[in-house]
Amino acid sequence: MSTTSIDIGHTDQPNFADQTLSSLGTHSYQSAAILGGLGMTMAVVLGFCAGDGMKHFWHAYLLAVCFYTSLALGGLIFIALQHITRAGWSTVLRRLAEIFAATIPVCGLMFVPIIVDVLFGDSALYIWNDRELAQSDELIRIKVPYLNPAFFTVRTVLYFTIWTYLSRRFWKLSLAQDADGNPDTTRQLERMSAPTLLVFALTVTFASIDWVMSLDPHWFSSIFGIYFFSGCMVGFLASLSLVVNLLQQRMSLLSMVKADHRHDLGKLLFGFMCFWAYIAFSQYLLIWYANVPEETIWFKVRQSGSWAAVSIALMAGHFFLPFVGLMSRWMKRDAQMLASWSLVLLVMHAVDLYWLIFPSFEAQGPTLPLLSISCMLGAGGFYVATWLALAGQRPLLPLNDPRLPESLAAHTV
Amino acid sequence: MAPANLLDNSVEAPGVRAPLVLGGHNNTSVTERICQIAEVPKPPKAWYIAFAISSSVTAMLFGLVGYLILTGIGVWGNNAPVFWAWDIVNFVFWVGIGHAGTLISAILFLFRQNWRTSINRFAEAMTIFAVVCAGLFPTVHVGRIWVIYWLLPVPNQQAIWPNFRSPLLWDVFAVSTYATVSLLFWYMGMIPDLATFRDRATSRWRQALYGFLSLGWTGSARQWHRYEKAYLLLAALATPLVLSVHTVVSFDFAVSQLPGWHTTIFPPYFVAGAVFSGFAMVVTLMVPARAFFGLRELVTLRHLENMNKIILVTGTMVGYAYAMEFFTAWYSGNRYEQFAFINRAFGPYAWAYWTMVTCNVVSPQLFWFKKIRTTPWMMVIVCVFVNIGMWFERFVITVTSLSRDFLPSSWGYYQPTWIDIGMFTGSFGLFFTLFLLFCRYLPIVAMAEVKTVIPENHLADAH
Amino acid sequence: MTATMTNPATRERHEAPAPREAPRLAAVIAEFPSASAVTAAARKLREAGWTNWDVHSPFPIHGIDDVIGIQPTRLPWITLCSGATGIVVALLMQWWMNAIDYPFWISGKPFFGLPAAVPVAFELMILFAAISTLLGMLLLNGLPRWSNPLFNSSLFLRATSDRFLICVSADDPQFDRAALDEVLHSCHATAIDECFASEPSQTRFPAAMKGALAVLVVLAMVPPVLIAQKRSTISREPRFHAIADMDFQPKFKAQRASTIFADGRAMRPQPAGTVARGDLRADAGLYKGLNTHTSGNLALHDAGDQQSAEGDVVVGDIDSKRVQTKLVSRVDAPPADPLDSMSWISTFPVPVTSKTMKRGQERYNIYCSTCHGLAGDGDGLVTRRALELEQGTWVKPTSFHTDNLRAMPVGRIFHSVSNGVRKMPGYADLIPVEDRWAIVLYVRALQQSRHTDVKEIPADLVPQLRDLPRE
Repeated sequence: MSTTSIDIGHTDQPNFADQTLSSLGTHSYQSAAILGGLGMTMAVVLGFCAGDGMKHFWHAYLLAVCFYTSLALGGLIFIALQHITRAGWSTVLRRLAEIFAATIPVCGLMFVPIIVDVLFGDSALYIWNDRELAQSDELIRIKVPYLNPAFFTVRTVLYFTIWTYLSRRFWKLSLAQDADGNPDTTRQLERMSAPTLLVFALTVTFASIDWVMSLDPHWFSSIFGIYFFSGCMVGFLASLSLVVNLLQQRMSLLSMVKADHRHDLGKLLFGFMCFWAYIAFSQYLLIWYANVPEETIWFKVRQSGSWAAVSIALMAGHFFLPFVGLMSRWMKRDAQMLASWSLVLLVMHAVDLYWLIFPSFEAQGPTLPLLSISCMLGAGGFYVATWLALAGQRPLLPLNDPRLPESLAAHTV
Repeated sequence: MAPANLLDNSVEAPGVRAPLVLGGHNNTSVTERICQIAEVPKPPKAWYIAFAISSSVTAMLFGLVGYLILTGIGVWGNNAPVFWAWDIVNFVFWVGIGHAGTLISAILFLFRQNWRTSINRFAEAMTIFAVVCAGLFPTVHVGRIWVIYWLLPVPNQQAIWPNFRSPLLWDVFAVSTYATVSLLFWYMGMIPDLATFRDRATSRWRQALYGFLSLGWTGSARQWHRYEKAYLLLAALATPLVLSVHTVVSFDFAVSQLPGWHTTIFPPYFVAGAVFSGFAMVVTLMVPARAFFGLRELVTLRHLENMNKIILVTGTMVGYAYAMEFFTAWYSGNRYEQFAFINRAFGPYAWAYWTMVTCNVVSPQLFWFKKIRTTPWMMVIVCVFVNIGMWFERFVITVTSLSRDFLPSSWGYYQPTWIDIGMFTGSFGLFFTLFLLFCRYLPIVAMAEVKTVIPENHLADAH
Repeated sequence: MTATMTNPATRERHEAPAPREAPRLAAVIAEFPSASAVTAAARKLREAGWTNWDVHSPFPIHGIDDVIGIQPTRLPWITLCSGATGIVVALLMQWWMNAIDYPFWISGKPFFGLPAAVPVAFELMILFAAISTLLGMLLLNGLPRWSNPLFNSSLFLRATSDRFLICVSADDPQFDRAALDEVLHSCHATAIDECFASEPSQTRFPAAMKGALAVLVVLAMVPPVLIAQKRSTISREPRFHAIADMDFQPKFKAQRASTIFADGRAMRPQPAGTVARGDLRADAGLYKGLNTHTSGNLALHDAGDQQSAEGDVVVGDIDSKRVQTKLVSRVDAPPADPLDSMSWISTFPVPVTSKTMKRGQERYNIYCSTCHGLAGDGDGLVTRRALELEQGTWVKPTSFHTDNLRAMPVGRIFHSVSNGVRKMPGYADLIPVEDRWAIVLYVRALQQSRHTDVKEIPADLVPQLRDLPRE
């Protein structure tokens, strides 16, 4: 009969300091960066050849940058959520999430071309940037105090500044705890997490409105920020499980991540996928039901022509099929099955962003996505390079986190 | 950091989990503590007084309901243009309160939050009673309650079927399903504890009653195996259910074209608001109950603090939703939408609006302070304000948008009648009457579940 | 060895009246103080080869399933199938009820719209799944089972509170009491008890309860029987009105009588000068062909009404020599035509463009040419046929190519088209205002076609003329 706190018991754990990517060497992220450069160059060339004032290029570029930023943002919020709930199962995975979050500054750098493009008055991407159109179109004119190049830039810079600050603090504190295992650091991180969540909610909402919703300045939806956020979470969780699988299979690292962790990760992925479907369906149903033309037009475009096929593919691939798959306990615990479903969901997350962004460019239906793919590969190369550089020689799990033993012993029934 | 008193387990050192049950309880003492509440021959005098008050208020409710049915809906203040008023506000209010119980039972279970074991029975009971109170209002607001079976897909003399394209009908299905599933979940959870009551019964009728209700439960490992699987499945089913119920309630408003109603953020906003008000009600009830029934060691400060944190989070979500509504109203350029929000803040119902904002956005922010979220009497005050604020939120949404919509010549100011006010007050009487009966006759804490988290029962070779 | 029963009031075990035969041993119960102790004991028991036994505890012991060897339950499949059934039932129900059996339009929604069908389908999925989960769990557990020999043991009563038991059923094929005792003692059981099969008298439903239940069942049958009787019989009684003032509301309905007003009607006529929305024909020129808005009762149809009210009068049609033979009354001198003194407009209130002209031609050919002929000579097909029939009631329409009509202001022609003239009915109800003006424009064109100088015709069109002017 114990009247004091329960002690988990610090078992003799092996030294995890060797769980690093040091075996990859620097050439890995250099080659990723080179690949990124090649991909992006090809994208720019294709964009010029398209001869449409780089419209296609900018949409593809926005897609790529939003995609990778969403993964980083998902990581940031995952960290905050785990800290604020004092979660014990996820500690072994947290360092990987921190690496994802720490890539945010580079995502911000990747946004610079878009900012510059907008500041130069180009309206290939954002039609509200067209001064004449903004004056003649009443619906755009009233938004000019918000949708103007200067304020747009200021806001984007603000978002990335805040996110960078937050992600770097989480990163630095976590790394510091590797050395000393100080429990006060955990308390500090926990205290930080609550304001992080609040600030995150507002910044992600307005970022998604600025970058994606304003592509069609006539349309609006108050749930859009939440929709984007749910996509971030699905994308990140899918990426996390893919990375874990990759590291386990290819590099024989992270063997302490067991079926129990996969199970919980799979449950989270399943939950956020259902959340995404719930938000998407709510948005659709309300607009379908009220049938107000200024709102339905956005969905009408996405239901017409070849976009209808993409919409159906999105419903099937982003919800119905993974629902059936990830519902199974076995599939969540099995490394290969979880990785496969994660890959499906990650691709579907990209398709979701494509479906959000591209109908404003090609209303008839998607054309050959070669440009989008090279943009994605290009940005992906930079992103992976950043990720690998950040991971560097550092341990891939928080070595001395007080909750690590609990995480290693996690048992999911 | 040493806790202020032995009953304060709200501080947790990272890596060392704070105990969920204090006072060195073992299986025997837990059983004794909970069972004696229901087994004592006569309940304490305070229970009688409370029951007398609540049942007379309930009697008033039934009287008013009878008067309403015999005379007609005209005895309420509803009239053009405000056709939905206190009736719908009260309905949404009570349904929202019910959500906390299911969230504690189901969602916290799925997240393996073991601290829920002390409070889930209590909260689930609150859900059932809140849903009963909620169901009263749409039932009587139809006017001709004797043909309410027309809402069900059963053959009727009109040979017509319900209109499934209406969110009001989705409500019928959602709230009925919610009531049924909550009842089933609550009952199933009680079976082992009712068996405990049965086996400790000292009188023949208690043995018969609890024996009947516990269905012959013996607590065998095989029974537990299927039981736990059923519990997990019901929790997994109840989670999307609770989200869907308040979503469908929000659809009542959001599928319309009315400014202030038709906005896509309503579903998650309503769900967050429901959890917000529900947890506030749980805390409001739990704080006196734990003191009165001697449950401070089972429902500890940590439990209360966790609930307050959830109140803070969901309250902030509600505040976020307010901000998003505002921004979208401006961004959309829709003059009617913009007016709807200006009217809310500065129109004839501004008093309701600012009450709502103060209570919903400002008061939960007090829970940033540890002192407030770990001091029982302080948190009760905050939670009462939260519930007031949430009632006003539903009032502001429902009434202001209806009282001033598109055509100024149709505008009108709504005022409730004494019947409106009486029925709302009466619903609290019904709620508390049922609650007091629950406290007297049923196990108010899930003993079997609490026993799984006391240190004595942790297996040495647990893997 | 007699049956023992536990008195709930005193918790004492006492002997029941001696049974007719020796009671059968049902189970042996062993008590353990903690979860870990009972788990260890269970492991030993399983290793020793026992099969028909179980562990009883006040809460589920983590990990005991594997120790005992319990197979995962099939319950999730039951839930899954029921949930799927719920979805299918819901979708079929909504489709059949709203799209097939009694479809009705509402707010422009499709009869069966998948987005609108989702909420109910979702709810029914949950409902079906949840009910089947609970019932399935109970069924698989063999519950309710109110009569169980285990309840006869006072040792067992603490299994639901704070003790951990192992109950070994005597039905086990290799049941050997001595061996069992040995195993149980080696596990350090703190107490062992025997449990005997209940007497049939103890498991029988009490007679009082049976009676009460029978009464309840009979009472419960009353409402459905009454409903069935009412629905299958015909009643000659007047309809029952539960809420009289709802069915007979103190208000006036449209076609009823009223005692309040002199004319006895509940429905009141419109005040003078009421104009329906969209009917305010403020533009007198456009709507009436008049220069100023003539006030008073001279509404659109009144001018025509006035004329026909005077009887069948043949007003001077210069070319027509025909006279109606069936005149009721004949007026020697035609009265002054009030239409002559009105101020008709002479200019078109619609744009005079080729588009209007084409429209006028099309509309004229549809509506007017049947009597007036394609060129306005009054020789349309209907006229020719009517004249063939020689019934004497037909009046040949005026030819347009008379000085009188060429001089007539367009407003007056418009008036004739709208309200009719002589035998011609008014076409205001058939032809919209703009089209009537287009017809008038075309009539003017027809008139001009017969009354124009060849010098005014463009040179390239001259060869198309059929009757070339003589020199």
